[in-house]
Amino acid sequence: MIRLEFRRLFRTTAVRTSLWYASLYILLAGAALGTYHWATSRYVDAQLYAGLHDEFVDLRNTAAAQGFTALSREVSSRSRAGSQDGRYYLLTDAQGRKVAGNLARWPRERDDQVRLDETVHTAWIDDDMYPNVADEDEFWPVIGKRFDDGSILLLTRSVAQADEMQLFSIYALSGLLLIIVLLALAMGVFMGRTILLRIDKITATAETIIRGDLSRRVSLSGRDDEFDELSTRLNHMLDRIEQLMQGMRDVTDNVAHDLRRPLARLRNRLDVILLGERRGAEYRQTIEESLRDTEELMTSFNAILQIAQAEAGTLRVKMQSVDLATIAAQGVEFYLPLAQQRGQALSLHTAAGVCVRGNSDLLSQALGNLLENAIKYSPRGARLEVRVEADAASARIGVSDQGPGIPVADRERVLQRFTRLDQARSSPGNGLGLSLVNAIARLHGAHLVFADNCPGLVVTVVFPRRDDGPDRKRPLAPENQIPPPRSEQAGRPGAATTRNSDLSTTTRP
Amino acid sequence: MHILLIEDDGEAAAYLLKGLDESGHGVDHAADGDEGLQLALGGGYDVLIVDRMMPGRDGLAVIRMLRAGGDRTPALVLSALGEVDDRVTGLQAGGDDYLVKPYAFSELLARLEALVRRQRPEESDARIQLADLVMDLDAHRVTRAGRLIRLQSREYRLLNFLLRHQRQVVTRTMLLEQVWDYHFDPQTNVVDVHISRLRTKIDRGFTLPLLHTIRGVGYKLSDTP
Repeated sequence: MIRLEFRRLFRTTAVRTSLWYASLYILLAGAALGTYHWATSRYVDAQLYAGLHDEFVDLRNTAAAQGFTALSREVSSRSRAGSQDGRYYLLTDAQGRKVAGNLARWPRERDDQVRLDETVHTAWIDDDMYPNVADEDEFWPVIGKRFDDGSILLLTRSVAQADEMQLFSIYALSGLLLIIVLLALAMGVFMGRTILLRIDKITATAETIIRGDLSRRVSLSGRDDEFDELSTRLNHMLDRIEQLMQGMRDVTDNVAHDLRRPLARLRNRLDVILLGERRGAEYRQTIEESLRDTEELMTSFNAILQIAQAEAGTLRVKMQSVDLATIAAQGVEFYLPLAQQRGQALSLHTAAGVCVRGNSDLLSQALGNLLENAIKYSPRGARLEVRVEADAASARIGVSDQGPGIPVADRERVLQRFTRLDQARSSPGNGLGLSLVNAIARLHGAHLVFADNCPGLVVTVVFPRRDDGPDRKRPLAPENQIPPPRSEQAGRPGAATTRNSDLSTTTRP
Repeated sequence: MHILLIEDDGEAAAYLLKGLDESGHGVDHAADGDEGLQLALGGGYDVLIVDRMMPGRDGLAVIRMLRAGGDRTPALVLSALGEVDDRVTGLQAGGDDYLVKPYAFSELLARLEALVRRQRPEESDARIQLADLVMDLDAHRVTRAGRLIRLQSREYRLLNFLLRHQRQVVTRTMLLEQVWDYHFDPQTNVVDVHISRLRTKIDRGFTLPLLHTIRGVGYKLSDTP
């Protein structure tokens, strides 16, 4: 289990990234270390060489000023201290016999290695030549001179100290590097764990939702970071899904409720006609009534299907530039005789060429439904109006009637399928009209606005103007979110200027 | 009419065969696209009824093949899909009319007759006539018994469609599609109102009524009831 956790941790982006960084640090620090080592060894060598040369010059001067005996004394005295800190001397007479110094003998093959030319160079110093065991045999810097009398002076210094110093700097830098790498890893693991913890929260919520609890939401940390942003988006998505699920549930309930009645009626009628012997005319009448019932059922089913498809966004329709003014003119022309038959006046007020991206079949249908509602619910003598307007913010097509209107409290409900405010269900229709209009509006990125006509109702389909086209991008706000009603400006009928200011309820897609 | 029905759903096909037979039409039935194509290529049919969704060669493919071969036999496409664009693709494939399941048999029959009638040459390009009702297409004038009848442009279109399909039953849906280019079912009797207005203009004051309502189906413009 822990092993699994560990593996999971090491698959996180944070840990992987920190591993990459650690590797990069190692490379960089390695290069830095190499450079540092090279530079310090150069410096230490230079110091060593300079010191050696200075001392040689000092002894040469002594020899020149005070002669061989003074030099011999000086070398002997320096040799005693030199044995402790790695300075070595050798003074021989013209016959090559050692006179003074702490070097046991000449370096072997001295002709090859040791040039007596008063310059510092390196020569191999064996470990039997010096007394200090701390020093190691290797190439040491040497400098030597053959004096006029044949005596030879040779100086050399152990490099052990310099080596030690360099070794120390390498150890120090390696330690630093290790600390950096460990810190990077620790940071990565910490970040990975933090991210995993946040992700786990989201995953846990998702698991709960998968198991069926659609009401769960991802909790926010309140830090307003990218995880909160992601969680907010996810929560919006979940809101939408829950609404859709709720919609599905509602439609199932409503189908059960509203379609069962005509189905039962149909069945009963057919049952009854079969009970006894009937005459031909009676059969015919029953069959005709049953046909009408089935047609009604079919219409309802088609409407439900269309709404469901529109709301699910699976209605594959071609969107093109559609002139709302043309749609309105055709709709008014089509429904005018019906309104006139009911003694209603139907007028059209439209700006020219109000184009939106949409499907003209569906928009015609939406306007048709609005007009049918207006005609159906308005009394004789009512004035009905179709209005097409546009400004920089939106294009609008609205239908106003002088019917009973829709109470503010019911305005959300009428968008749901099968909602009919007249409980007696006296007038014909299946109660799907407004929800179909709403579904079509949402498919177009538009929304419905209800307003009072005092008396009556104005239903307006508002197409917000967006640069990227209304059918592609939809706002993230949860749908059917109804802002609190603004103060009603009642009692000003007929005042055209108040038309847009008395909008009281808005539904948004 | 001699009809070829290409439909894989046996029950639906049986119901259609019975209905069309009782309506006095001869029907051949093909149970899949390949058989249907074979029969259709044999020729001699007045109209084809083609189900869109079939296993193997689908209905639109059959029509496309026939059209590619120069066969212009009118075809009615049946579909269970019923989305707006399906109708468009169905018509683009060479179908002449499109009907969505479930449909009323009377609707199907009316559309079949309209398709077959459409193939017959018009009496005259300049005028269409039924009894004493004359539509002068060039002058855009309608007279009955020599008396001028004033029609609004949509009423003129409505009468034109009815005259072209005279003595045939036309359904409300056919009128909505052909006269208004609307593809939805109004929940009100608005088409009836348009018809009764037209009837007032062409029939009032004449002894012989021409525009008849066929209950539960549609309308018929005819000099014989």
